[in-house]
Amino acid sequence: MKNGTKPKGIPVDSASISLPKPVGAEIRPKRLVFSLETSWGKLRSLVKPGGDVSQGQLLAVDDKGVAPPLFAPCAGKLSGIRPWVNFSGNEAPAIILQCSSQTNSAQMPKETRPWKEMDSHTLIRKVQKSGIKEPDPYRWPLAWRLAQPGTPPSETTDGPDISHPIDYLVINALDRQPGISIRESILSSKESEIGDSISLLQQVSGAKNTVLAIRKGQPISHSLQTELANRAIKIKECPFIYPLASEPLIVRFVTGREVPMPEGDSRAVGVTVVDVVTALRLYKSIRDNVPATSTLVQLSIPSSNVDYQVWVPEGILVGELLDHLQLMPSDAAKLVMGGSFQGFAQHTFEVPISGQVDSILVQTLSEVFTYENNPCISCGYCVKVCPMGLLPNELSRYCEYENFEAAEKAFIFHCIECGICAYVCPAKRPMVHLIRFGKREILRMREAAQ
Amino acid sequence: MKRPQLYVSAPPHLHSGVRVNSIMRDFIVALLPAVLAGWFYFGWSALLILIISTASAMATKLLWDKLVGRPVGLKDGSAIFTGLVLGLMLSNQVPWWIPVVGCLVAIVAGKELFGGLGNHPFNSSLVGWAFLAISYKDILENYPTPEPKFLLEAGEYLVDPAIYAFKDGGVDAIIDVPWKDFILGNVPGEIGTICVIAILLGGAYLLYRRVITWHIPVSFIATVWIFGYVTSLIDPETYASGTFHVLAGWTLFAAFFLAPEFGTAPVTVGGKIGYGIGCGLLTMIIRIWGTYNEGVPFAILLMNSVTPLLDKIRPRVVGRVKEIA
Repeated sequence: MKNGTKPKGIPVDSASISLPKPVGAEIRPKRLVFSLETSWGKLRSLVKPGGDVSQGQLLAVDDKGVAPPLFAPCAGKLSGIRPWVNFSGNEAPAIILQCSSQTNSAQMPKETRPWKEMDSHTLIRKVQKSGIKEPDPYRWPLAWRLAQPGTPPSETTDGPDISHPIDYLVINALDRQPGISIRESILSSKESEIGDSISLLQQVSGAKNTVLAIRKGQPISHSLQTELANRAIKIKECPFIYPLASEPLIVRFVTGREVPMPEGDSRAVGVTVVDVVTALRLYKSIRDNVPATSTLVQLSIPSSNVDYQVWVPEGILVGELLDHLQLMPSDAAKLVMGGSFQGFAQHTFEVPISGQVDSILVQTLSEVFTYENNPCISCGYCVKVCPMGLLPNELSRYCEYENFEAAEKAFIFHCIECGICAYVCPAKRPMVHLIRFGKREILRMREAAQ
Repeated sequence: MKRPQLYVSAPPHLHSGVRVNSIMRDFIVALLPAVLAGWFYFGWSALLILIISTASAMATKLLWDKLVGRPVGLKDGSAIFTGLVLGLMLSNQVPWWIPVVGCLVAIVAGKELFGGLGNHPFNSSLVGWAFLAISYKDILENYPTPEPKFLLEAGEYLVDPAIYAFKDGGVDAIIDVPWKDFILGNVPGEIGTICVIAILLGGAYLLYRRVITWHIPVSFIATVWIFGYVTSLIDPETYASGTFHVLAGWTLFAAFFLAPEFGTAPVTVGGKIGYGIGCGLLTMIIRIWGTYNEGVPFAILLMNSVTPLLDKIRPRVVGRVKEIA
């Protein structure tokens, strides 16, 4: 295995890791909201407003067969389909489900065979039907990344090219951002299920090599080590550097292969990355033959010393979750979904938690930091840390002065928006904001040109 | 239920806490050993020059910002740094108006006309210094012998700065000067540039605080040393050794405090190394074959002008190669 070059980024102090406390509270939501918009296309609702819904029922599908379908985590009544803010702060049509206390489950087709006896063709369809969404911004949904040549998850021509066999299956146990440690915590707390979860992925993908990427110095019990060795799963220790857990960087570090950007399609170079939490959710879904409708989030409120990890039904509103756990801080000033470096600040607490959200951060006024938009002082600190080898100083200036053609030539679309340029910027320039603005304007110009 | 009002912004939602003013504070702290060395060897008159210089830089910045109707930008500390560096590059014998004029040129022509910190193409302190050096050469070149406050005896081997002596008298003029005198700074020269040990302390502090990276200082100093080493191998009678060229004159002071100035130095690793090498080569060429005695200031000013070109030496962009494995 060729080793990747030394990754750039900001080192994270491993002493700062505190594993979040698991919260076992059973949550009975009143209302769930599911956005019908995904990065792979719009979903079509299968239930009319006013219709009754049973637990585990299929709610919406992608007619193109690419995006994962949507299932109801609980029984209830579909009260409407109307625009609702989603975790990225955009409004999109969403299904609103009023939950009832009854527990009438949808009749799932009985599956008597254990997963170990299924062929990859059956399994890949089950992966697609599990409805899993992931926090990482992958180019393709899980099922498409895991599909072996000749076994597409659905009959469609809109999916990616899967003719290339999967050479590397990278199980990512590195947490996405400083301050989030759910993957690390799952790896230590769910040891008994990790081996089987990875085996399932091996069976589905037919990968030639399987690598578990962990943080250097992360404790792994002896029994798990033996178990992994028996299943031909290599362990790769990675330095604790943000944003090494991002797909193009972890692929380069672990396999030495370069994911072509800006497409970011690692499947095209024969690599599939799956994080451990997703692996575990998928395993439970296929083992129990139920859709994966609950997701694991880390809930951090530094001002009140709260750091919990909790399994929640997908679609629950943040406000309702905080009220339920009696954690709503009266002096909250900022709500961030998806981590302090890459997450989206919300303007309301009525935001649904979807499978794409792995962390919720509530800051108080004293913790909120403000950008100042000073001119660039050309210190070069952002160039020093940029993990993608870009010149963020130059990009931010191009975007600020609306020189979009130059920005495009300077690889603006290679930016993964990890945010460390803005983190280190002594002039407090809103780097990510400027780069996003540039990307958006370029896309708009491209559309107009067509 | 009443919910609190929320702030919305683009990510990230954290900041490292390193600000322009903290960087400038680090630069100024790093200069303090050199300031102390200046006082140790040249007495209170040296401190007075530094105070005049710093104060006039701040006053110029204040007046300029008022004049053009901008918010006064003294808080970031960059004017203090420019003024202090300019003062350290002067002899303690200069009249009071020299630092005042120098800072006026440094701040206005060197920095503010181009849009302020980070946007000026040439090192602002050196622009001020170059103006003085060209206009008032004889006033500037008045270097007293250092008179150490305690412990040391005054260095007796040189009456002019070492580089000047070398220019006039060749290797014979400087061959007897012990390395100890250079390292301690016990030689004639400017307030801040003579004491090697004080400058290295400041440089080490900058590197430790990660204010600057090692690329520019190391490539600069290494180039000077190698150039001196090679020329002295060729003809030891005519050319001084690499160690002399590193320890004498402005080399170390420039490598840590002048060459890496933000905005005038490249930001990419390749660019920084090329810039350091260029500074080193030009320094040696001017010192050995040029008409100026000290090659450093014009070497840096010249290299400043190619900084935008050097920034084209980019790091490799991840994921640029569309390889299908």
